[in-house]
Amino acid sequence: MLQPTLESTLAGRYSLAWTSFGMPVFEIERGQLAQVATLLRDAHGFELLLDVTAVDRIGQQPRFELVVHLFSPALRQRVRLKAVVPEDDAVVPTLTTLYGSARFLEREAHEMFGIRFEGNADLRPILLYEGFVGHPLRKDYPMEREQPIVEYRTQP
Amino acid sequence: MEFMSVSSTLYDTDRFGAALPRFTPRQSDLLMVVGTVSHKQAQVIKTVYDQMCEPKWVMAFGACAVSGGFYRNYAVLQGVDKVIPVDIYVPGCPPRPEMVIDAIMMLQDRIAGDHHPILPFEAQNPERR
Repeated sequence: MLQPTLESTLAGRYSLAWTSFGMPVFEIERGQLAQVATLLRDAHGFELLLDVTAVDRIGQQPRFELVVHLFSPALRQRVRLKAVVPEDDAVVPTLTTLYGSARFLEREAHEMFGIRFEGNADLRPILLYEGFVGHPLRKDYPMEREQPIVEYRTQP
Repeated sequence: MEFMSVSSTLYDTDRFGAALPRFTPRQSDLLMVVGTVSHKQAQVIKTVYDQMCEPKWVMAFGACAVSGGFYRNYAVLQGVDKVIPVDIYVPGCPPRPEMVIDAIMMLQDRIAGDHHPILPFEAQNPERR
């Protein structure tokens, strides 16, 4: 099984490990993200960064949970890394030094959740537009709030 | 997809004189807004509408163009009539081809009964019943 192998590779670097629908999950410190990814890449060939996103656990402390998915083409296995991020200091070190695709995935996580990635120089929004206020995937973003670009017609 | 169905052989809008899709707004009379309009796309729709020559009409095709449909979120315009005037609304997700044909014919009836912006009134209304 993959889980015990990965657990021995990452020994001492995670606080919690479990298997979710066959996918190994590791809860780590956000500062350890790059080191853990390097270990996984070098030891087991996790060369592909599939996703960088976040979970907004509103009302809980710390509020955010960063979720990173890695894939190993050699093992044909995925792994999920989780790291909690507090709201008042929503900064995470970047993964761009390891994975080129992290540039865009981090840009998206930044515009949607307002998590800043230290070391990623280009955090311009991708899907959102200039002048958009707030982070729409945060749970406290009001659902009915509209930020139109084109001015609405006044009904005759 | 529904638009393809309505304009292809089985339903064939050509029969009602609503034919020849123009792929430039400058030559067209009717703008059919088919599908979800996001706030970013709204600028494009507005530009296309402004480029069309008078007289012009707009059909909101499907629930998303009519009211935003089930997309009630930060990204989607809640109905294309917030940005451009709409003459006829076709609900449905997706609308049946029969509904689109009905809408086209209703619009044609309305246009036929309308005051034409170019011809003098008498020329358009020779006899009033």
